[in-house]
Amino acid sequence: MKKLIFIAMIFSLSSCFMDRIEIDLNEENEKVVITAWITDLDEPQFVTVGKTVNYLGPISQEFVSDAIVILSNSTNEFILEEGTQGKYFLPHDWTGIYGETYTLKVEFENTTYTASHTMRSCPELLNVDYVEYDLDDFSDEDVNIIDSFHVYGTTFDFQETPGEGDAYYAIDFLKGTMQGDSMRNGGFANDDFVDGEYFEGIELSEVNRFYAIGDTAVLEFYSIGEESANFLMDIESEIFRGSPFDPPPANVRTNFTGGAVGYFIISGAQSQEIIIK
Amino acid sequence: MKRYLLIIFLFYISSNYLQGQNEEKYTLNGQIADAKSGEDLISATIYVPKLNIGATTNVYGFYSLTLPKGSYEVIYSYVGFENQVITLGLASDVTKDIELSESGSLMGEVVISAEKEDEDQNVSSTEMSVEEVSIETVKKLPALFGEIDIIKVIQLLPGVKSVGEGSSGFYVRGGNVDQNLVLLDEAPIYNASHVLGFFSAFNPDAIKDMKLYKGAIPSHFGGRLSSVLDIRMKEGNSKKFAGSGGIGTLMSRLALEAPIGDSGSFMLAGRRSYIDLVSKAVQKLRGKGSDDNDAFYFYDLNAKANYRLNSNNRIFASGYFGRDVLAFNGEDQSFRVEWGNSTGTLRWNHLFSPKLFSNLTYYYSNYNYLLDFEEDFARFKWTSRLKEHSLKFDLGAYLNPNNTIRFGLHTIQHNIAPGNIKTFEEEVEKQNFDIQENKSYESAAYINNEQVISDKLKIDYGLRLSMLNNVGPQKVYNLDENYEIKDTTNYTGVYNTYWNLEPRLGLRYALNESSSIKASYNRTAQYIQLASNGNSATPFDIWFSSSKQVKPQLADQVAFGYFKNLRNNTIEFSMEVYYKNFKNSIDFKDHAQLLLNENLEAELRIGEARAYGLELMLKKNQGKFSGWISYTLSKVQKKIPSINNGDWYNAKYDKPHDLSIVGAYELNKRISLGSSFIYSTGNAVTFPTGKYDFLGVAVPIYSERNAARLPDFHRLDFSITYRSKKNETRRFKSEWVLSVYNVYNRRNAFSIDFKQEEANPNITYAERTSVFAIVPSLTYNVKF
Repeated sequence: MKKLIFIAMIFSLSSCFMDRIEIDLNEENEKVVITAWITDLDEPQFVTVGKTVNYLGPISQEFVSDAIVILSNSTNEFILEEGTQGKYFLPHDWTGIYGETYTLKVEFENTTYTASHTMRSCPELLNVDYVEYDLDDFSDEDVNIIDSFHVYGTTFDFQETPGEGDAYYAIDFLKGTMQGDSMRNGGFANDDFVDGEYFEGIELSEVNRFYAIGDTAVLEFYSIGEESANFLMDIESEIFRGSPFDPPPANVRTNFTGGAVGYFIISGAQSQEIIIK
Repeated sequence: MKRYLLIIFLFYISSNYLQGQNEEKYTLNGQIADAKSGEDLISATIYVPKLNIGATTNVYGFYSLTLPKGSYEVIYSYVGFENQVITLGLASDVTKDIELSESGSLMGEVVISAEKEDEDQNVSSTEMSVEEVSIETVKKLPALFGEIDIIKVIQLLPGVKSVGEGSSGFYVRGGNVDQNLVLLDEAPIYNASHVLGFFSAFNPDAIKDMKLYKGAIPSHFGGRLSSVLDIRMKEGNSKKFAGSGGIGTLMSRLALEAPIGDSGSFMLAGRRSYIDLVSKAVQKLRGKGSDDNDAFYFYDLNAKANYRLNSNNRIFASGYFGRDVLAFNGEDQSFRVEWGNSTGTLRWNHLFSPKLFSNLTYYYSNYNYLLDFEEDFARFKWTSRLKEHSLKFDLGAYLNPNNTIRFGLHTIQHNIAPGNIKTFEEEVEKQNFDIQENKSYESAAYINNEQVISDKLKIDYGLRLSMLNNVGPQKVYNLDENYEIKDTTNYTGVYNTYWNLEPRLGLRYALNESSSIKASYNRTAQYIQLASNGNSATPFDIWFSSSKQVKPQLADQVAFGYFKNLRNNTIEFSMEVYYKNFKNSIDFKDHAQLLLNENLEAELRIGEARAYGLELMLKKNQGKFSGWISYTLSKVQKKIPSINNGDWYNAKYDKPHDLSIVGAYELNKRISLGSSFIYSTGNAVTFPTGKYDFLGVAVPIYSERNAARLPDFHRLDFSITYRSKKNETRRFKSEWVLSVYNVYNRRNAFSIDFKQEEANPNITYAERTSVFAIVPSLTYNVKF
């Protein structure tokens, strides 16, 4: 009898599971998608214009040409030029002004879409460093994908800007590759409860994008404001679903008028590299 | 016009009463109890064939029947018990306490409602939209992990839908979970579940009786829109020391009861799960260690005592305390999560006269939770609680056999502390963030009369006047039309009041001896609700009261029914249709932040909702085979500005088809079988209709809210109970129950989510989460 009870216990405790299934989804008329994250980093700044795609199809967006894309502030107006299809670039000599509110206007197929965002200065990245991870802290599954006995992650400090309403986005990745350059690997937070504080030893890296000795890690830090952090939070709540306590699915916010989806962010940013020795 | 109606009403009542004064009448009253345990029998019947009139006992086992002077044969009866017939000459008021003995021939049978073979309450009573399931029935049916759960059996009844697989949450006739008033000895239980909803908070060994009102809610109940689940604890055996208990797959339980002198009794019952102990054993078997301080368990305690001071006064004290604990202790990190309810109830039954019964109740109810997280030297502690004190005075005036009036007063103080966060560094408090407490008083006065107009027509009408007062000190955020803070106002004292008149009406017209039609209307008001936005309620959801900017929710429900009894009332059939309209219905804006939000009201969106449906029930109450088939066809929709473009959309709990087939069969004295089959339409869900890329992630696009469906749900459960042969000759009785949940191992979808492949984020796929596969379990029960 004891054996029977034990078997029943084990059986019961192991009975929750997940599996991949085939499902048919309704498709809706495609919508215009505009995504823009413009910074003052020394790299090409661009806006993408495209259309939504079938949810279970490839993620590759359907980019569109012949849109008129204009970025303006209270004193200047810049017309963005289309480079590759659907990517519209700012002039190389464009420089952002902190505290200025910028408006992005996109005209496409006789419809005008506009969004505004204020550019905030970004706190300096301080004490950029790295730490070695203890493999004991990782699960067996994670350790199996690590092919080195020594793995590292980046750390940094920063002084939060006094005054509520700030929010920050940070990400690190291996220099010269796109490895890790995805929102899934970035982190963001606003200054609720921590306004004006000094932060030490913030870690970003995770086990699936560790660094090894000799690697150069790039660490980027953006001042995005609370409203954009809410946009990222919307996305996060949509892509990390699976708990029975999740709220109902809902469209993520957009700051575009005119019926487009996507978001326009313009932010001060900091970038630093560090070699793992 | 209202004034004239009131005058007519009072005139009618008084004339009816005075009419009765012309004849010389006397009152027969008393208590009806179980001869074996001394437990009061609720809804036992007293019938006087000569006059073709009768009465039933109230929830304290009290009855009162006023008859003309004369000699009568009176029949006392209760389902599963031998009838007792007495002859008495009524020449003065008589008090007659009766004890009924269990009927040997009916022992072990499944009893679905408290009706004797020749009773026809299904047909004769004005009650409709009411469900009763005896604890004996619950014990006969298969259960998840073998743990008997009254709420899971309630989910098998028409008009009641489950929150999800394995969950003890339920929806009634289009109402949300928080629109069910769950009472344990009159005290509300705010989170009636353990283990994130898998087990209800109610220990079956401690429960005596339960009744679910889905509509036609009597005027002495209020505060929730959709249902009242009235659960009563056992008083305790007043004849001898007795006990019961069980050892199950996940938990064990024990209940003890005994007399207190000659005039009282007590009951004490407890349960404790051992999921954590099993988990630790499994870890050890896998060669892994675990911290002794790690914990994952729940326990609950029920206690009750009663004492009869004299023939006119009796006091009761009862309490419930339940707690769930989840704790993990790592080298650098630790966390502890706790949540639980506690209630305490004091009651005083007083008989002013044989015709006037009263009960004074004080209760205290508390729900709180704690989340304590520690990493290195930093610590974060989050607490929240809801506390209630209440006083209730109910009177029952048994004027004559044709009029029973109930009236009373009720007041509740709600005190809600939505959240407090403290942060510590090296045990020194660094920050203290406190969301302001909210205090309100909910009060009501009610009156109700159950009146027999003629042999064919019986009505039950009442009125409840309910009121909410918000009380300061309180800082109120005034919002503009975009839900942005316009300004703030600091209030002290009573700064906001709402009141509502809630008419209640029930009507029965007898077509013949075995069939009747019934109709009912009720308005209900709800002043306190749950901020819960997930598929399932979490222990961390908070309650909030109506306020200056959140009007009370109101519901109007009409229902019509046809009731028919067959084969000498052993088979009952009922068919009900209902329509329910909700005003000031609450939903939440997209991506609402409900926790630790000082300005929660900005996250709410207010609109309307509607629910309608058809409910069919066919049940067999007695015999070797008993059970029921219930089917519900229903629809629930909401319309809230700014959600779903302001168009009607399905509520998440809209499940149009719901079928339950439940049966129990007594093979012989030692073996019985139980089984249930459930089929329902899948939950309404929102699936994406498109996507775009943002920084390497697929951002979904949705169209209509809750327009899609999870796959249909169906499941078969089975149980077999084996009783020892020695049970027949010894006091200590035991049984083994083998339960199999989800016999054919169907993987019902609890949810479907969409994920990107890690290796190739370009590919998005659908993932189904199923909570349980086939779950066999074994339970050993004892009784002495």
